[in-house]
Amino acid sequence: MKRPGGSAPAGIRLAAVGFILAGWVVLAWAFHSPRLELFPAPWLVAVRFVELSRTELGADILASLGVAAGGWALGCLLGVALGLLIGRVALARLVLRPLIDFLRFISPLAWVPLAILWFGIGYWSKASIIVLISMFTVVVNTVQGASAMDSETGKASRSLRLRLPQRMEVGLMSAMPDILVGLRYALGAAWGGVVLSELVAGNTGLGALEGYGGQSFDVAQIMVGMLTLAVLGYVANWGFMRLQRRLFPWIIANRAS
Amino acid sequence: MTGRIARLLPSPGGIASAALGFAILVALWWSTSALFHVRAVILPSPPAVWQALLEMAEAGSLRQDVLTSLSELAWGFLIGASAGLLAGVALARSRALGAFLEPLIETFRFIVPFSLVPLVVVWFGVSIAGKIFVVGYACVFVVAINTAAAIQGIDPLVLKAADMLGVRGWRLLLQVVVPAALPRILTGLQLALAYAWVSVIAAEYVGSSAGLGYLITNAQSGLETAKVMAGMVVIGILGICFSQLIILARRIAVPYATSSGW
Repeated sequence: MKRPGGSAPAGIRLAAVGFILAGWVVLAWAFHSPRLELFPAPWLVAVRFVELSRTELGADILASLGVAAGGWALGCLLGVALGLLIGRVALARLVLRPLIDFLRFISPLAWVPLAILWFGIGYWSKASIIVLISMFTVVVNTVQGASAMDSETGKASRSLRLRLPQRMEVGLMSAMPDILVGLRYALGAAWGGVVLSELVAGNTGLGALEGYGGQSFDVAQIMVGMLTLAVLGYVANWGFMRLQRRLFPWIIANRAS
Repeated sequence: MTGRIARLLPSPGGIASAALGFAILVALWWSTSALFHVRAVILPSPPAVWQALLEMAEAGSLRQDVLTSLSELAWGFLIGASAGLLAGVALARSRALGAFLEPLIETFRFIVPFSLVPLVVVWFGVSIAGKIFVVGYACVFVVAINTAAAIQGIDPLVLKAADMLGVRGWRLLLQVVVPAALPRILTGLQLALAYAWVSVIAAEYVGSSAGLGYLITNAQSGLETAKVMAGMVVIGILGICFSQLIILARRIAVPYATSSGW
């Protein structure tokens, strides 16, 4: 969202940040009650953060990251493989595309109860949801990339008599910009899925941390969970962009934003 | 040979393709449950799921769940999309407001909507107000970002031509800006509606007493897998209806914009 007329005035940006903090403090003050803190002030959340980070926060972060990373990696691998298959092989397109067209409408998050019935409460009931989320996001983008391959590139690789692995590499790389967009969207969507499946099926993880906070009316603990999730989501997005720029510098960075 | 069959196939992303996919899925599902004698708690057969659906429809609980979910969707989408449209216009048209709103959006965008679910349960209890809050929150950013991009992306030549022809004020807005920006704005609304429907289901998982999300988690805790799958089918069919509605709206409102499946 860059405006062509130069960067935004720094004063107004600073005012926005001040507005968030001031609004938070005012709301906390307005809803203050000595018995039940429904809207804890920033410093109370900070205190709760320090308390939690001494006890369970680290383990919860690791559990959430494990589910997210495992599910995302597996889902992306499946998604890219299926997407390339659908994009380049006609027979796969005939069978798989209608199937995905239907399954896409049943949101992966609606599979949570079924995943619990199938896998029980544990790693796979959560990770399978992330696999579904990532797979559907990545498949669609990969098919777009794979079927929109430049015909000149195809001709060039044929006239150079590339062997099959090389031709596959050419196909993969020409689809790469679209695949990467899919991977990044999947990363964001997967993070949401982790929270939700941990809320429902969780005994560990940041979603479970929030869930326990909700059960004991500990709003500060819920907010610690929310903020930790937001920061980790931001870091993951930023890291992905850095890595993409390093590994595939030929992809124009703007396309991804 | 496959080329000739491919021409007979429905276009990708459309409703016919989804229906064909449904048929393939039911065939796979039916044969799996019949051939391998899977226990009903793991994979009930399609007739059992149909039976569960009929039972819920006759008892009237299905109607209540669907209506609850739909009203949460309608209010949440309405509030979130209106806020998003206003914010998007402000972002694109006013430098000061835009500079103020952009950091706000860039900060709150990273707060996962589903992480709000326990919070709204504490704040609003099992009432639908909390669900509406989550749904609206899930919509607002995608609408704001797409609206702002749509307005900023209008070809400056078009605006110059309008200016040269003396089109100003309301006429400029209604006859130039809106038609030029509408396709992208509708894309934002389409995404937002999909997000909203997911969030309705997600928000109903925890701390609610009615709705389709409640239906499937409740059935899951009672090990009634047939009911879970019946609920999922209802969720999917309603999702298809919403996406068709937006596609129809798109065809009526912006017949000049091209759209394609994947």
